[in-house]
Amino acid sequence: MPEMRIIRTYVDRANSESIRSYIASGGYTALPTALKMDPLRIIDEVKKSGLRGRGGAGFPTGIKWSFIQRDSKKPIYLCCNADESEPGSFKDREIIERDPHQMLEGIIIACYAINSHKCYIYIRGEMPKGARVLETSIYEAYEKGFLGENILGSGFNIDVVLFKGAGAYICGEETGLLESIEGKNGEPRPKPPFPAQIGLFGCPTIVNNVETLACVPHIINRGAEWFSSIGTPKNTGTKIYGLSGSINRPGLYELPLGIPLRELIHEYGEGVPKGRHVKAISPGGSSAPVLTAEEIDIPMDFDSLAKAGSMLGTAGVTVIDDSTCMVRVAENLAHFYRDESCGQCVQCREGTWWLEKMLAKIEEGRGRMEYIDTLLDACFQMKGTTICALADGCAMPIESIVKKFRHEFEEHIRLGKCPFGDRHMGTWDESN
Amino acid sequence: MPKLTIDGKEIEVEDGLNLIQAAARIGIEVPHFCYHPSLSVVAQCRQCLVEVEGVPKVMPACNTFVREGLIVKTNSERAINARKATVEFTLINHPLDCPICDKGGECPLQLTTFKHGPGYSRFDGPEEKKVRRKYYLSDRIMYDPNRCIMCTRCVRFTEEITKTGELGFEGRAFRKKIVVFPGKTLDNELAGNVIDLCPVGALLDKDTLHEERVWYWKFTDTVCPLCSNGCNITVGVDPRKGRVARVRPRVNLEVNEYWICDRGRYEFKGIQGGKRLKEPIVRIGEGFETATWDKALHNISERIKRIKEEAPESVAFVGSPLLTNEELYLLLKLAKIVGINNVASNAGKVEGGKKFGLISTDPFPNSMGVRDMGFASDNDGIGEVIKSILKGKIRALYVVGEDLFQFVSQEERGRLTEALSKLSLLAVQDFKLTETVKLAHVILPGASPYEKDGTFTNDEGRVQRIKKAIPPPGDAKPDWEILLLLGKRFQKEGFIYINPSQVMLEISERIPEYKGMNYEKIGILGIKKRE
Amino acid sequence: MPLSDKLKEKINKTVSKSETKQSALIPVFHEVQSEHGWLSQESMEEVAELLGIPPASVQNVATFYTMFFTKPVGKHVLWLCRTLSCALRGAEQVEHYLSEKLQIHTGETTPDGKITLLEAECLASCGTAPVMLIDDELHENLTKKRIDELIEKLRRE
Repeated sequence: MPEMRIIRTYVDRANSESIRSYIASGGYTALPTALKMDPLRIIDEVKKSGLRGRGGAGFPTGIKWSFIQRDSKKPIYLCCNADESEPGSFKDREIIERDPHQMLEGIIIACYAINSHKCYIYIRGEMPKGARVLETSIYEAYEKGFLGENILGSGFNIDVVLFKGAGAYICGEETGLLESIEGKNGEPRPKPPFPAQIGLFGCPTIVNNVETLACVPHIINRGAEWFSSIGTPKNTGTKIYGLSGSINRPGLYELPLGIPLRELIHEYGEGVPKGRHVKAISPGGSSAPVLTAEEIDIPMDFDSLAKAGSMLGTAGVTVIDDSTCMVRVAENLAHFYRDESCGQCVQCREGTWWLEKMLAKIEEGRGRMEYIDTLLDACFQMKGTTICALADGCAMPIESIVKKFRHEFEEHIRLGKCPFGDRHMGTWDESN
Repeated sequence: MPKLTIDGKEIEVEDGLNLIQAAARIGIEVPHFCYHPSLSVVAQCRQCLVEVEGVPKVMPACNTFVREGLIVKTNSERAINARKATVEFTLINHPLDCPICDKGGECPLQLTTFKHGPGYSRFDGPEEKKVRRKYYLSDRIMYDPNRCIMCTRCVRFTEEITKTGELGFEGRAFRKKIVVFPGKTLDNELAGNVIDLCPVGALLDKDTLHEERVWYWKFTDTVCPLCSNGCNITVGVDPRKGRVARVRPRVNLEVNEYWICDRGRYEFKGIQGGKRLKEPIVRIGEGFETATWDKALHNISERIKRIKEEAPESVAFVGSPLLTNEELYLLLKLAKIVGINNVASNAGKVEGGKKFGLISTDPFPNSMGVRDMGFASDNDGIGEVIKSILKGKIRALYVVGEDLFQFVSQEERGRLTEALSKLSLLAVQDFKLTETVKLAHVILPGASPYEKDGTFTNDEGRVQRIKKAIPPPGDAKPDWEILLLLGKRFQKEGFIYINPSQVMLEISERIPEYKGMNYEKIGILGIKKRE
Repeated sequence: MPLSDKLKEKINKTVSKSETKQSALIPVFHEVQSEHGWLSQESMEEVAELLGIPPASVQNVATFYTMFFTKPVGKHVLWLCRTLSCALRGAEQVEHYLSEKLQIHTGETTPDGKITLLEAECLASCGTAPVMLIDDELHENLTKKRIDELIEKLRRE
């Protein structure tokens, strides 16, 4: 079955990242249309399209834009969150490296809609290639008059600045991102105030994800009705799903929101390697609570996953097969969050450290039965008690793993060792 | 004024308060570490979590502000459990070494653990706690990263209050700690405040490290005597040792807010440890002899009376801006009763700017009092007296709390020594051994400002009480008491006061700017004198 | 190593383009590191002076972000992803292999100062796991053969 490609249409083409290629395939045609529209109508159109943020939270983009006080005396900023760092997510990388002008066109339209004249693209430091591509793309767009002063004779000015991060997952959190652009530690800010009121440099700011912005030109070109006809009524449009982990055909797949997980894994991903079985699935980036093989029939959209106690997040699906120890999985994740915590809130700084410690001890066979309930309670207390959602992001998957695979934890503790015995986690296909 | 409900009690408070402040108004304590009223809100320690009706998550009270109709529960099961959990998380990597920690007994973390904690920890690997080396942030301040709970108050203090930025973090996540840049130190004049700000034992005073236990201390609320700002302080004294253990700021938003300078914090050591005068001394020929108060005072009064008879203009009194209003008043009263016109005191320096808003260029606590009580408002008066001494016009001199050598140049010191040596009477009352004291015929041991009661008037005209935190050493007496004893030898009925408070009542009748003032009205925060 | 005049000029240009001096800090660090390979105490002090911010805040930012080095590193830096998707596809074995091959532990630099091996958290290339970043280039679908070639190339340089 083919994908339903909207954003990924040209990614396989040679030089698809160049402005020439983008224009040749109909790019930068939404921009003149948008510039002729009343900005409020653009916001309306995006609202009507039902577009929800692709960065993880799924907040309606049009509504977010409407939070901006458009006649603010202070400058208004747009920040494009290109700090893709959620384990299991690799969708934005492709847009950035293979078709960045879609995103840039989306940025320009968004700026026009919210009356912003400056956009920062925050790209993570670990994406040097993406940064090189974007530098070129921005230069090309200035050359062609899509950026700069009086773009396309509209009287609208816009500047885009590329900002390179330097290794911090937390800068993907929107206020952590703002702090980082301001030259500080990427430590999320207590909210309120929200960025739409007090954001970058104390000014009203909107932060949007790469994929979200890439959707915008298509909505302008083809209309809100077209966009909202894709997917399900409250989860409109296509979504770029990522498949990784134990899967035969890992990669990105653009499909309408609401596609059943089974179809994604077994038809598009062609299932897990021979002789193995799906054991658990992290459906939306590592922060999402995991699903078991029995839950595989769930539709992959924001609401269905939320209803099942998980989340769509970034739609980065990581498949874990039955050869993998779930304690190791939990430990691997806890290690990630422990190292990536900014260290402000105690539940996060100490909680992630503690979870990792307990999980490592269980894995090493030094765990005690009461750890299991302690893990669950610590996870419970880490959720919703901190400045940002990093602690939740650590607690949610681990809590779900402990709950759904409790028997594996008990077995470790009973045996005093890992029943999987394996020195290494996962399987390296070392011979290709 | 929004009306809200906290734990079922309805209150009306002004806008802009957070829930910690609002709850405090009705006596509900919401525990917290990172929140401090004069620093930015960071909501990091998560200890102040409360439940707000209609909000799905527990909220930090420090960053939740009062609103009409807000229903807050600090005592719901959910809020209590969330705060318990916070304590448990906070203590995971904390060494729990309270018995050997200087903060013990007055530690917010210890108190919060006791009042709000779960009483146990499920973390069972004490040997696995992260252990990091202690280090010094300055000559005086030690940092223990193991005890640190990352409330960041100290860092915010250097960023927001002193704006000197010496402190920063190193690393992130569980590796995070507080550091100074290599080769730099935390050495601004307010640096010591971070020790008080620290809600745990992570920042400690090297000065008294492992020397003091706070529960032995007796606290006295008084005023710093080291400059004209008059910062409010609390003096902690270990009565067993009979000496000041620590001086700390006392909150007075009108004067020093929450802070004192390091001089104010540490200088008492110099006074305490310096050469002190402990008993009255009378010069006999070339030598000195200790004397009874009676004998020493008799010696002075009789000689003054005699010289006064012979040459009325050859007797002079000198006061000091280190004396209290009451003492200055008594000195002037004595001069008037005896009939002496040559009375002067240093009146301090004219006001300049204040560093960090509280360190004045005038190093005296009561220059304003000198002027208010009736001394010359400039330093001409004291200059004239010195001139008269140098010219040999003075035969008897009574100096209270002043070192006359402060007023002459290096070259003139010899001349002054000579002139003072020729006096028929040099009576010096002081608590420390000065050059002037060394030349005295009669030495009266007075008290330092930490050892007596009275009032100082700061450079903004605020009259504030100083209180005796420790007794003067040996036979030394508070200066007001000495003045009374001396005064009675001239006119018994003019010096019948039981304490300085009664002197203030007289001041309030005689000096218009102090009209209606008494110690009760002055209270613990002082009051402004009349314009 | 002090900042060269050319680098200072570059920094001043970056500062002049930034909205606040502080907001130039991260871009300036990138500039200094690409020239010096790391951020020495001396260069941090100079940056602090050029930007007019306290050295402690400068050091603060330098140590928060894992890609800034406050200690010297090898000529080439290998960032091997260790996070879940890569781990499921053998990142631990890759790490072991690299470690054996280079005769260093993760976090260390080869004695000749050429290669530093570091652990990275998710490099956002999960679909082509296992992956590693060598300096500015991402290398995907790592196999023993591919690793041998890459290391050989670095060694030959």
